[in-house]
Amino acid sequence: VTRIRRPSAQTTAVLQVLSADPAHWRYGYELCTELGIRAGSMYPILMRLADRGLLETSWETEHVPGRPARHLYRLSVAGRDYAAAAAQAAGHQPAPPSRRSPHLEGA
Amino acid sequence: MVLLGLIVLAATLVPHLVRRLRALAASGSDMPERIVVTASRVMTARRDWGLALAAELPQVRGQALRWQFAAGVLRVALFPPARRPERALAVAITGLAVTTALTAATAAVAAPAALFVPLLGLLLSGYAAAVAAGRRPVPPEIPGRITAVLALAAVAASVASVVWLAVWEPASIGGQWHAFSVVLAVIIATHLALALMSPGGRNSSAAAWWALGGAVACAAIYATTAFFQGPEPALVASMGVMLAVGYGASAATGSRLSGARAGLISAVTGALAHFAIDTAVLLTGHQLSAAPGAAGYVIRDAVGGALLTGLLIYPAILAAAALVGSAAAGRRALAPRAQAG
Repeated sequence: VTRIRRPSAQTTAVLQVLSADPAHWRYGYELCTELGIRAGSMYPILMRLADRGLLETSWETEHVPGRPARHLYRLSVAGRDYAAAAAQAAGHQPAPPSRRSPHLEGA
Repeated sequence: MVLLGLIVLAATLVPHLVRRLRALAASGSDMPERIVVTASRVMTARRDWGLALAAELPQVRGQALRWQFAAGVLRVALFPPARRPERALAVAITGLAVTTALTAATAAVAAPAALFVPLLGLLLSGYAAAVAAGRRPVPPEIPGRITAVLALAAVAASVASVVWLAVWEPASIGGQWHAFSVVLAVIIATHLALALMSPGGRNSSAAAWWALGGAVACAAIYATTAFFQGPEPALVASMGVMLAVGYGASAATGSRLSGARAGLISAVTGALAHFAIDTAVLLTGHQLSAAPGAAGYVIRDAVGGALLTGLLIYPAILAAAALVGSAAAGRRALAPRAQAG
């Protein structure tokens, strides 16, 4: 079991959203709009999770004209364990409500 | 000669800036996009993440949201999260301990340098902690590491010379020394951070060899002319070296940016060596008295001149010369393609 150092509220929210559908790849701005977290906070969270092996990263393989391939994220097996432990430590709070932005395309 | 060098610097940089601004205007990109692209390129320690951030912007709609996103990217680029926070803490504590010990020793034997030493120590400790945390990259190539050792040796020699002057010629660093201490410490730390860059590009190692060669050549030129001929031939010869570094590194990597970076690394590493050599010449060329005297005031002016010329004006001119060299390599590489097209 991954040793838990209590994550911040924002990190816990990111973990909860990612663990809601752990097989599904998400991209950073999608998470920003869904959670209402700004890019300047979201990316450091994703970087730390990836550095600790809690997040798998990949590049989009589908070519969409007009924009470069996006970086995608989902929880690793260790990340799923960590998310479960973090949710437990946070008192089984439900995942925050989705606030999907109307500005997104190709989500 | 320095004036001529400054004219060359202006003549180089102004057309380059005008070309860049025209290219940006023609590209149709807005300001948030320019900020994001520039910030993502700065993230050399986390290159993939820089690309990831740049790839997200096209889907951000609305000027306010784009500005907000660009501000976030800038924040991440300037203050990336630590990869190894525990190691950074250990390095920071060690740096603080070493700085405290050196400050106490300096205060005891060379009171005029008692601000310069701790200030530089804190700046270098902070940078070392950032490197340990993975916030700043370590040069991955062997020549880059040799350049780093050369730059660190030059910094150590400079600090030793300044402290030695404070001991033996107190008047040489009296007067405006506090302001001078701050400026000198900040410039040395900045140059060291630049010297530890990697030139980047697809053949970064070759460019790093060019940078190392340029730095060694400049240091040799400074050492030779400082004792025998005076500064002006040094500037001319070093400009020739920098043209070669910019051209060679750019041709080796196929990137003008890598050529310019290699030139900058050479220029700042050479500048650190230049200052160390100049202060060493001062130490050997004067009868040090360990008491306030006329010689001290002469040396003080010379140290001020070494800072202004060796650490600021020369590297700026030499970096511009490298830029000219890298631009020439870029033009030569593009010419056959243009003809073919």
